[in-house]
Amino acid sequence: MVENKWGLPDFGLGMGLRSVHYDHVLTNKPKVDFFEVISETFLDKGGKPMAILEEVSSHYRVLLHGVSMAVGNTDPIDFEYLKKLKSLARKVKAPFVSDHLCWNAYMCHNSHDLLPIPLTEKTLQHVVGRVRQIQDFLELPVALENPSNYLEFKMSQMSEIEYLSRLAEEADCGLLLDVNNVFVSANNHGFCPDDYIEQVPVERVLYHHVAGHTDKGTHIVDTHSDHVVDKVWDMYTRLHERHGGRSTMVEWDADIPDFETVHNEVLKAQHYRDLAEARVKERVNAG
Amino acid sequence: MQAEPELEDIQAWLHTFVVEPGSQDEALAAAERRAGFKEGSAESLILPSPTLEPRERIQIYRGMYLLRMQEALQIDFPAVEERVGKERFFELVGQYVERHPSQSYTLDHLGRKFSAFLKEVDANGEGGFLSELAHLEWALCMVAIAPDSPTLLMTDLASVTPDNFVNLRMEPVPALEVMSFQHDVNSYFKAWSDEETAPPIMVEESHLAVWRHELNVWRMNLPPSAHFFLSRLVEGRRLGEALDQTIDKYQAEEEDLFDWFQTWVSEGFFSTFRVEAQ
Repeated sequence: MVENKWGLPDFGLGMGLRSVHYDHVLTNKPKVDFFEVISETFLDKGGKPMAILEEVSSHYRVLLHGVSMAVGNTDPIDFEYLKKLKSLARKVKAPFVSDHLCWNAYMCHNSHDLLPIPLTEKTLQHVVGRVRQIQDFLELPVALENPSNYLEFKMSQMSEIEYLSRLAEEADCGLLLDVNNVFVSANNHGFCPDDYIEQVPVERVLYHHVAGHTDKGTHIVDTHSDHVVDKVWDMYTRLHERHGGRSTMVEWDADIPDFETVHNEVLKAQHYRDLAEARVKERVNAG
Repeated sequence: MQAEPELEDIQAWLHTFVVEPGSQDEALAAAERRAGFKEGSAESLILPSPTLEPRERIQIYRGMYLLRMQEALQIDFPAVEERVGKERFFELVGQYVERHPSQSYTLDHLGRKFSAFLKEVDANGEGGFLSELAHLEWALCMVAIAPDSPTLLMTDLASVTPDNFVNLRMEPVPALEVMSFQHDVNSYFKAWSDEETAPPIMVEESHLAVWRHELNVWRMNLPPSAHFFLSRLVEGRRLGEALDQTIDKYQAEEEDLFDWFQTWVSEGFFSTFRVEAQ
């Protein structure tokens, strides 16, 4: 078992807080270890969104996951955004904030996408500098997620996991490892997902996402619209063999089924965690 | 050996390709111009996958851009979408985001100029009705998420002596919009939201207050005199001054205007007040 560098606990198995489930959550207060919320949904807002978040955060651990930190942008860092994020994090007592290794805007025009970065020494130093500034400003650990990618730059000089590992080390930040995204990018680019999993610097991993995807035949799209596939659970299990329990949530953001279906999906993670633990014990016993 | 492109140039190129309207070839040419790259940039910058050529790979991002914009504006303007039909709505969204791309970290602000845009292009040939409908839908969105604030109660005004009532300056809550239209937009919107047959669109001046009370968003029709009176209060005029101007303009009864004032206070239109002698 490898603890994360920040000594943060395993928050268990969580779900995304989505508007279609608000009534169910507020009325039934289901037993869920934590809820992850999309930070931007609640930044700088009053009314119902904030009232719901306040109610949920009074009963559950809330983790913040964003899409607008833009660690790869060449536009200046948006400190107004970060100020709001910091305030929200304090409000819900978030132990860390997470976002993606990506860029999303050029000359202040936001595409609202998670666009890929060429994986070079030069861009790594650019991103490291920004992450350091962002983390210093937020006064909280930042965990960066490996995004699903649909293209690769010829100029890239290293693999994504090498880039993320160095970024985490040099910027002293955490990682949110999305196991489905590894599977999606591996299929889209033709690399081995198992090799990727073996290289994950587990002491930097604060958190896991798993999700379903859509196979378009020529490529896989990270749609968050289905059950998690077996291969992703297999990768998830092997990660847990390496690092023990880590907070995990299922992302289900399109064609969202009823609360119980999504909740049952994340509860499956317990089976794979137990399996990982049993395998580790078996290996220890075998000497 | 060719120099490695700068990250900023790569971003100019890919961003332009993703957001540029027109065909894929036109978008790629625009991206190359903006980044100063030579023709054939997709092939020189992007690796093919086992199943996709470089152009097909960057097209995945381009295809998702407009869908995201459409989805965001569909959520904010459902009545407008239904009025013009999905296909026309998507065309309008494409034109709109070309002129007014998102400049915020959140898509919540994307529709801020949609009403003005619809007016400008006279999108449905209905003399501004569609623009006014968008204006109402946008107000509903903004009021729903406006910052929280305390709300004033009539009992809070008990400390004000009768003589000083005329000297009240009211502070409106952030979750209040006072609106005027050239059409009876609210009747149309009500019929649409109740899934009833929409009334014919009439050129008819109408006034509305949209506000949030106990987390719900409400609409209140206002006669011209009440609208004028409320507008004066919201812009910071003293109560006495707003009353005098309204009575002068509309020959309104002071008692009726006080009834409106009490209604607005009890509905939570105001957050605070101060007494300010002339």
